[in-house]
Amino acid sequence: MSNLLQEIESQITNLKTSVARQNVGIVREIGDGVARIEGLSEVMLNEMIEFPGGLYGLALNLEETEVGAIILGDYAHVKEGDEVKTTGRLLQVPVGRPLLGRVVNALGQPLDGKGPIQSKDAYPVEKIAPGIIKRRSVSQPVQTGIMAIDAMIPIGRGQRELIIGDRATGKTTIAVDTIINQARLNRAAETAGNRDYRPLYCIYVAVGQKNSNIARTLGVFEAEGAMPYTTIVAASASDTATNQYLAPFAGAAMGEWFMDHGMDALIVYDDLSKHAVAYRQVSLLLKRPSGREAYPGDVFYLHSRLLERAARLSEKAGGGSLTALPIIETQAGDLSAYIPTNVISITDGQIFLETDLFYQGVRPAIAVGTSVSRVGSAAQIKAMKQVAGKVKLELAQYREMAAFAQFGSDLDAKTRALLDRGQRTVEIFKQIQYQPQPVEQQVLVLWCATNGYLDDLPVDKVKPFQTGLIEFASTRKATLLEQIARERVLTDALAADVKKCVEEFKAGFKA
Amino acid sequence: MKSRRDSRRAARRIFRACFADSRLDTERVRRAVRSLGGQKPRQGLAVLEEFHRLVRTEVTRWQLRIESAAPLPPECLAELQARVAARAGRPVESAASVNPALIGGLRLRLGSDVWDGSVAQRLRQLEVQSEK
Repeated sequence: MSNLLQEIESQITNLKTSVARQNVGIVREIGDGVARIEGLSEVMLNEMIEFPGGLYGLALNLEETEVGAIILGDYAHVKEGDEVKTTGRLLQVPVGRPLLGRVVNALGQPLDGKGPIQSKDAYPVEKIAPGIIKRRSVSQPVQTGIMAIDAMIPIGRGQRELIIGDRATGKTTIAVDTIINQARLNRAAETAGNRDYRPLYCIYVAVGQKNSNIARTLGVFEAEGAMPYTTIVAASASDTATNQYLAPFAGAAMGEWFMDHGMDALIVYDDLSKHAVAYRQVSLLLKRPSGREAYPGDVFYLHSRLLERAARLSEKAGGGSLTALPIIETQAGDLSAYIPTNVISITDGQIFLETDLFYQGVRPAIAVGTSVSRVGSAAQIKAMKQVAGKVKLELAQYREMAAFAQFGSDLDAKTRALLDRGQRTVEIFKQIQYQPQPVEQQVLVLWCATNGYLDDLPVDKVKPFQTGLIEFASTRKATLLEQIARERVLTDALAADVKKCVEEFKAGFKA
Repeated sequence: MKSRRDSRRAARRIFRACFADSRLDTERVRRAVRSLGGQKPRQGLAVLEEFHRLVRTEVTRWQLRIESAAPLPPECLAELQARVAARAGRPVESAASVNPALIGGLRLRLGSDVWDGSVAQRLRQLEVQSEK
């Protein structure tokens, strides 16, 4: 008891002697979540400032006599003449494993009603991306479970791959499928006690979306068991522009924690078009000069500094990685608009989704000609490279030929074969949403396609053949699939086994 | 928008012209205001309002506000003013006021800097520490 009294006395003694020096300012203007403050002569850029009532803001504009700040929270009771204090702190969000399975807002506060986030660590929202020395090239795959992507536009850990397309073309579905597949792989490795497998944790950042859409995505994650490995950062359309602007940076900070601790993480920014719109709103309210399409001049820097935070670190720096899948919504397929061209130039490739393909029933509606992965092929497993090496080229040639072939009926045998093969390849790449496919099954199906085992089948029988083959292999040849997954390369012996399996199935398949 | 920017620019020009020896010359300020009021130039009101804001910011920068829970004797105020001026490296004007909400002690404000030695502030600090 005497110790306790001594502690209180020492606290009082400390307080008696301390005179707090603070840097303060006065609110001169307030509106739309933006305050203009006179004073605050020592405020730093991006410093948190304290308004009365425990409300915080972020100093974004430092002018000669005024400071422009955005308010993080309900600004209804802030009034002209209120005193504002500097805090000397940067905006931070909680990070770490306790965030897995949670839905949080842009400030890392829980939205799911599951109680407070029990996290000891916090990371600044704005952080400089890892430098050149700390990085190394991408060499490990992110298995999306979407055959068209894993075969033709592979994504590596630490890569930034843009998903771009018009509204309702399946952009979010690709990201959701990828997250579901990571959860499936993580769980499988946990169950098997596979310590070599590096689990990939996921962060889904929803910016400016309808609450109903976010709820639906959350429902899918929960139904597919992906939430234990996933964090959702939500800044919905009803949130302030400030929160929408900060949400991707908060998500990046959460992902960086995994990367800095030698783990792998995947972050989805859904979507950066709305993020740019939110930033435009904040900038216009702060009276920053506007440029093309009224976006501020630093909208490129906004996205480049965000996406640069995705990296693969060297072994010396821990070997972690952060993979980014930004999403951009185009208007009427216009890739040359301001924000799409910006983000295309920043990322390491893009997956372009076409409305026409979507309505033709080609889902995922990936346009092979305009989609590219600049680094991911280095991360593809060898077995996939062996079977899918020529598929992208053949499919691109098929699309080009198909456009010409519709004008004439007399085609030479080579063109006819190309068209036939193309039609069947398109069929095998069709995939139902939320059903990612393991890589060994993809290898098996692609082996069939590239070795001509589908050529003699009618096009409408290709899909039943594919489903049947996978079922046959999973039930009767499970060891073969396991072997492909384990060895990750099709040796001559393994290729012979695959051939035997396919021929055995085909013999019993009724077209 | 452009006219607003122009008026802000004009006010800033006039404001800079009112400085002598790195200090705001009160006589020049008065002359500028008289001249603006008399000539009534285009956007004169906007220029004058912006000029007023700039002068107010500059004046408060060098104004020492002394708040105390009870009235202070004049010699104490003078000493406080002298000490703050010595610390700031230039003369400051002072204005004293009584604020019973401080409970005890003093609160000094010079420009954006506040030195709070009041009992109210210490209680707040104790509250924050005990919450931790």
